[in-house]
Amino acid sequence: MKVKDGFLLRSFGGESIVVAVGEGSEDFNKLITLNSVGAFIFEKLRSETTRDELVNSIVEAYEVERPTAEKDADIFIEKLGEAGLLDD
Amino acid sequence: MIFRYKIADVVFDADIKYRYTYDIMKEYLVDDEPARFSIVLSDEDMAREKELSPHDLTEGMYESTAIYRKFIYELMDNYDAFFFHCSSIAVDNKAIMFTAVSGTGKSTHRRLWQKNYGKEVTIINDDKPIIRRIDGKYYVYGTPWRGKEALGENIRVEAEALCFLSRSEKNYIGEIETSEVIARTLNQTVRPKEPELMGKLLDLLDGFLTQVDCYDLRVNMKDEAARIAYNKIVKEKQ
Repeated sequence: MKVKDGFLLRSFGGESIVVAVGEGSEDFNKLITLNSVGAFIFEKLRSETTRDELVNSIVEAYEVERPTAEKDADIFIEKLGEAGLLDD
Repeated sequence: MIFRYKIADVVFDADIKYRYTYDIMKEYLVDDEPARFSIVLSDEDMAREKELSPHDLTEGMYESTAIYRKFIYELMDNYDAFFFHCSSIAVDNKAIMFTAVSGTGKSTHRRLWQKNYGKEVTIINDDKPIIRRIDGKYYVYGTPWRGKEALGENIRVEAEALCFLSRSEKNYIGEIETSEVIARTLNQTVRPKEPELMGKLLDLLDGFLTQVDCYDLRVNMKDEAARIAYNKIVKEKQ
């Protein structure tokens, strides 16, 4: 899976936010804030990545146990999916 | 006809067709400085403005907002500046801004400050000032686009306080974390579609929120509303 084009990840007001750019960006319902793991996952999903690859990179980057990384990955995949940011 | 203007310390030429636009912009005319760029509206620019406007306006009003839109994008791209929808006043040469969605009562609250602290208050711009970053500091600039009552001056004042205004029966003011006002800030500006420009705008806004003191200001229409805000923003800082 990967995130769609047309979104920008930015540090803003002490948070990481995702905003829509291009067509549809004038409607601001798509503002999403992410914590640092969320922002990390968003960046990884800029290119095609499987859930397994994602979990591996979280384990590596954050030095966490695999179940924790899996939980993080699932939470954010769901969040990004619900917001309509993911291409299947 | 082409006229030369200086707004937010940026000199530019604009091709003006309507008397309305000429009149509101005339305080900003200059003649002895070189222009950095020119604004010439196309038919498409005018048509787009009509499409975006929620009300039926005169051709002159469409022209003036279309010019403002082009000006703002040019400034965002090359002059570290952005548009911010707020009523802004200067007290003691420091800018205090009241921002909220239209209809909340920005101008009403500003009027209470004038009523209670009239001698100290200068209106920078009652509706559509420009904020510009110069050498790391943020300044609020008066513009010709000044809201319904056409209040404001051709001045610049360093940004000090930003109040996120809402209506409430009981008056309240407290400091607020920037992380809590992200959406409310982004909704008060023109957001470009181009990713690069949007990135520039977010960087500017981020620095702006860091520099200014942000307040959650909940007010009714009584004098006390201005008093608690004044005490917190002006008096406690002295």
